[in-house]
Amino acid sequence: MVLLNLVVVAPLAAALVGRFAPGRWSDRGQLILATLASLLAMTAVIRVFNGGPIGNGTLYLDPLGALLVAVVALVGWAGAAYAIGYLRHDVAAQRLAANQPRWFYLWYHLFLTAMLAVATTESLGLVWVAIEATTVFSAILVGFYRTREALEAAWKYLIICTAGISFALFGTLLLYYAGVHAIGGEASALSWRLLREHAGALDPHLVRLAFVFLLVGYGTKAGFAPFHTWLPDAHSQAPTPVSAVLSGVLLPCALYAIVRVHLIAVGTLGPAFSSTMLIAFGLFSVAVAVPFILIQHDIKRLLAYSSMEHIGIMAVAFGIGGPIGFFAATLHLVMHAIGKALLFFTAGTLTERYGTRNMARIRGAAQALPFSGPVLLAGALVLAGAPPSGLFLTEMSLLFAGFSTGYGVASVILLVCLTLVFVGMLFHVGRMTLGVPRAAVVRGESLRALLFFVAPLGVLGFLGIFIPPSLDVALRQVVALLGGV
Amino acid sequence: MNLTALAGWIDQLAILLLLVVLVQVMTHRLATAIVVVGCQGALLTAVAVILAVGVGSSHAIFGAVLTATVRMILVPLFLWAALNRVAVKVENQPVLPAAAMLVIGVVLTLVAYEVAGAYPLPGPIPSRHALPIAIALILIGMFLMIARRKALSQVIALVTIENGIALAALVATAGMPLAVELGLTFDLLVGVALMGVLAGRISQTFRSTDVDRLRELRG
Repeated sequence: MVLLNLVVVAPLAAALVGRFAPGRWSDRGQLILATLASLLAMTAVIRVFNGGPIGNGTLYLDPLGALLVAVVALVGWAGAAYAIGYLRHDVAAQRLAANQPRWFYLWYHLFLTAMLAVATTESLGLVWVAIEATTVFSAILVGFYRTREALEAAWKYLIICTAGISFALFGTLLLYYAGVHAIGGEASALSWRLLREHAGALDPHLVRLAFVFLLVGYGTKAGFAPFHTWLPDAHSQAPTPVSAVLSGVLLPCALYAIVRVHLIAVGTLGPAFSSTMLIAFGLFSVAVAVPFILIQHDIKRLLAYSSMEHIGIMAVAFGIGGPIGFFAATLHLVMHAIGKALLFFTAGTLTERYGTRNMARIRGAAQALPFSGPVLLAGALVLAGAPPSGLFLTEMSLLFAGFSTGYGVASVILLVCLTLVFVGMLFHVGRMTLGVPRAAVVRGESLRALLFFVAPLGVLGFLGIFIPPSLDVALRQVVALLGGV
Repeated sequence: MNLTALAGWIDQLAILLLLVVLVQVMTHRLATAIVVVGCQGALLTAVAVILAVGVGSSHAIFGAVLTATVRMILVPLFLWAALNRVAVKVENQPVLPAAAMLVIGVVLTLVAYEVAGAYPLPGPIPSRHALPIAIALILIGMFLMIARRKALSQVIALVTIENGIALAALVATAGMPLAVELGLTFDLLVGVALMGVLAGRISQTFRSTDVDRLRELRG
């Protein structure tokens, strides 16, 4: 399928232009090509939702993959656009050398390529290869500032995720072994599509073992507790556009791989085993994130722990499943990606203006930054799940699905955690945005910020009240694919 | 040659592999550990060649060539280059004495034999020791990641884990599909190169490669 090949390869062009184009064409050129790449990806996504899965063999895109591609394209593009001003500011402040933004664009777009590859291949082996590639490229970006903290974060990230993901490789090997014996044939035995079709014929012993290895392996990368220790460091030390992509897209990419394997495990073992494990890991991640959100003093770490909480919610939703659970999970994935990107961008602007990430020293952001400040407050409300935001909708339906399918205890725990997170987020963000800024802080903001920040916020608020028919149809296709007809 | 004879060869190679890894467990010198990684690569290549002879597919031959270039030559070379960039080249503050490390290594090997007995993965060639030793490599690699404190030692431990998985893949299924195997080894190569560079930068910036010193990010 030519279109799918192009979708994966297109960001490479942006990477090369960003690195090698002369003069000011570096940052403009990478944005132009990133825009084209995103449009291309969206074309493929629309074709999938209108005409069913496309591609065959190695490259294959079905509705679930298409959802992920759409999120990568959207947040990836926004990051590429935000990066231009952000990196110029860093160069002006001499945090980066003049040619370093070029390297940034190279690694950033390679990182996006790897994530698109995760979503567009049907070979579980290549999914592994692509996810490991995301670790390598994003680790370079995490350590981009080369400070002590950044190096530490990059090292932790690289070592923990590479070690963790080797578990997933072993799990993949076990599944491959089971597949070769049940399906036969080399490459086809790694295709999640065929494995799921033949799930009944797989050796249940092996599948159970494989699922545990894969869950731990990709779970490390998705930020499940207790393997999450790299996450707040990497998210807080990375340049802001990268933090947004790490949090909004990369974590879901790893979760996506888990969901693919979960579907195979459900086919072989019935729903109980893998669902329970997903719910347990998800709940534990949410619960571990709560205290760190409450006592946090670093704004980017606050957002990182919030991502951990949200990935936990998604895992619980995928685990509970059924029409409502899957719908909540997928809608949550989309909205968290948009919302978290928005919050990281506003937080980046705030930290640039105030020169600190310490939330105790940020006051009166609503006055100092007339657009970013209020947007930060509103965005935090949305992300914490205040009505009428879309995340309120998904969290409520998730709790409803949980109570009605016999996961009452899990739902109560989740409800308590969500309430605490709500209070914590509101406390931190309220303290930062309200009040009067210190006299030394420059006031005012250009109109460009308005477009950049308000548009996605509008989308999020809007989605809570009304889900447009096209998105609804798309999500229903994903839900049908997941098995919650 | 018949398959049983080949299986005998693979068993002997696997036992050699276990022995060199136990040397790696005991040594505190990073240079020795890197030589061991090279030996692991050489032994894996030998296993891959025997499989290629036994199975006789072009895929298996390509896999053997890939193993030789990456695991035997390039990865040890990259590690060696990284060793020249870091200041401290020995585990000078070991967590456990060498004898205790060896005991743990042997215990992990026994555990691996138990596990492999419970989950045998009979492959194209009926080898008795290859799978348990592959699992032993994975477990010992995990243990070394926890027990070693120098950044580069952790990378070496990671390579040991990956080699264990590669051995398991070879004996259980005669390797993964070609495209996947290419991707795997490429990731390994790039990962090791990047970790080497990072270890060098950490050594410069922190004046130490003790990962214990990486303690600034909390909460």
